[in-house]
Amino acid sequence: MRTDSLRLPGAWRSAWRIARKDLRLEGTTFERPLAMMAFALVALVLFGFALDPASLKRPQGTGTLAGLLWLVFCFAGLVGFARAFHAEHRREAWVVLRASPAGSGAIFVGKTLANWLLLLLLETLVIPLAVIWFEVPLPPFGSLVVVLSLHSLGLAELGTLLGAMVSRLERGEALLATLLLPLATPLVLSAVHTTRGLAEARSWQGLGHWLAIASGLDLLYFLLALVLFDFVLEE
Amino acid sequence: MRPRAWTVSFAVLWLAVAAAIPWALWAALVLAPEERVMGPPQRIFYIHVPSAFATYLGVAVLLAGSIAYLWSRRPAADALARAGLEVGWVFCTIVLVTGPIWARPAWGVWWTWEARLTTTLVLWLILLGCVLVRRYAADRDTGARFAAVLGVLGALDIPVIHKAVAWWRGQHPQLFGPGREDALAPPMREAFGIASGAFLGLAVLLIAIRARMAHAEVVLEDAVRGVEEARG
Repeated sequence: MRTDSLRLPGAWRSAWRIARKDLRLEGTTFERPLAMMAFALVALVLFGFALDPASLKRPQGTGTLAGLLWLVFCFAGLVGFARAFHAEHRREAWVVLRASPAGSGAIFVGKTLANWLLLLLLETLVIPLAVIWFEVPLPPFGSLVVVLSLHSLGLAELGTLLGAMVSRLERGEALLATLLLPLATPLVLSAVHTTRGLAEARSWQGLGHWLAIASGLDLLYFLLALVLFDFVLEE
Repeated sequence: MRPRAWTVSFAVLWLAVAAAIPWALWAALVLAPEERVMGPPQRIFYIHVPSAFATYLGVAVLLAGSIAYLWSRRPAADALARAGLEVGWVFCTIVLVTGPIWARPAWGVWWTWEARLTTTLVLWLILLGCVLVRRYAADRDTGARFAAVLGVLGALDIPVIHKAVAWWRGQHPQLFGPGREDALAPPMREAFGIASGAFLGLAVLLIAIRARMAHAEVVLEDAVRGVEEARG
């Protein structure tokens, strides 16, 4: 499909091109998806050892499992975010990207889109494994997609902004978790709470305000990051 | 501000704080009556809550300094942001230490994952991130810029974090707000006012000292670099 023929306004088209470039790169090297997936696998296996499997059984274990799954997504996401700008730092590709007509806003949106899709891919692979190993009771499919997309988007937004920052620090990757996770507290709370609520009650009853807070956070982080990203990219 | 005016106001503030801190101590230990249910441990309230006010002041200075730095790139704005950050962080530590000391006799536990406690802990972690990012940066400008970005992001995230955690849990005593005007006896209210004033004054003084020091560091570094460059 020729995406160029889509009549998107300039910035969105640039953003989509950057995202497509990133995804194509990951599609050939598998560098980040592999690193994220390997981390998630190891973490899941370790949970199997570290926690008493009986304590994870339904119904009491559902909340614990929802929390564990989101921990895996957060930390596997960190593995990916930390290297989101790795390709640009190799062979000074930054200079070319910055010299292109795509503004910093388009770079941010494109990178966020790629990070988001990678995170969703990871979740698609991890959840069936968690179901097989830990008998995770899954929420209805449609609501699961909504919860995963909304919360992963916020994580990807913060991850892109802070990933760009740590890529410019020496030994910065070690700092990413410390910077990102406290800022993402409301998002993680909302993610765990809605996932648990949906898995237990299988309805949106009483979860409406969490959806509102998650969407609000996505919007807030998007606007803040859009303004602040320019300052991070500065030479 | 002219150096002389600065020195005079600085000296006045210094003296005022030096007098206010013992006064606050007296107010907390002597002036305030003993609380009927909680007894003596309640007196930590006169340090705990004013420290929380000082933390918020520090975060407000961090936010203002960060925005001003990103806008103007003046080293003075960065020095202010840095001072607000570090002083706020110290007072936040005091809040987190005094809270559990009070909570143990009052609630029977050192810590509970309640809304305001959790928010304060997360705030402490966010401030820690801001402090660390400077140390990781290769040069001063990058560190200042990244710290300012994190300062804005963190300060604006705090109300949201509080809202989210409050929806999740709630237990902290609420002494202020509509319908709570008589939660404190008049002498308690007076002692609390004195302690709050003293702690806010101390915070302003510390922020001023730290900002001046941070600014002097920048000036000194630039001067040294200038001399080295002149020598070739």
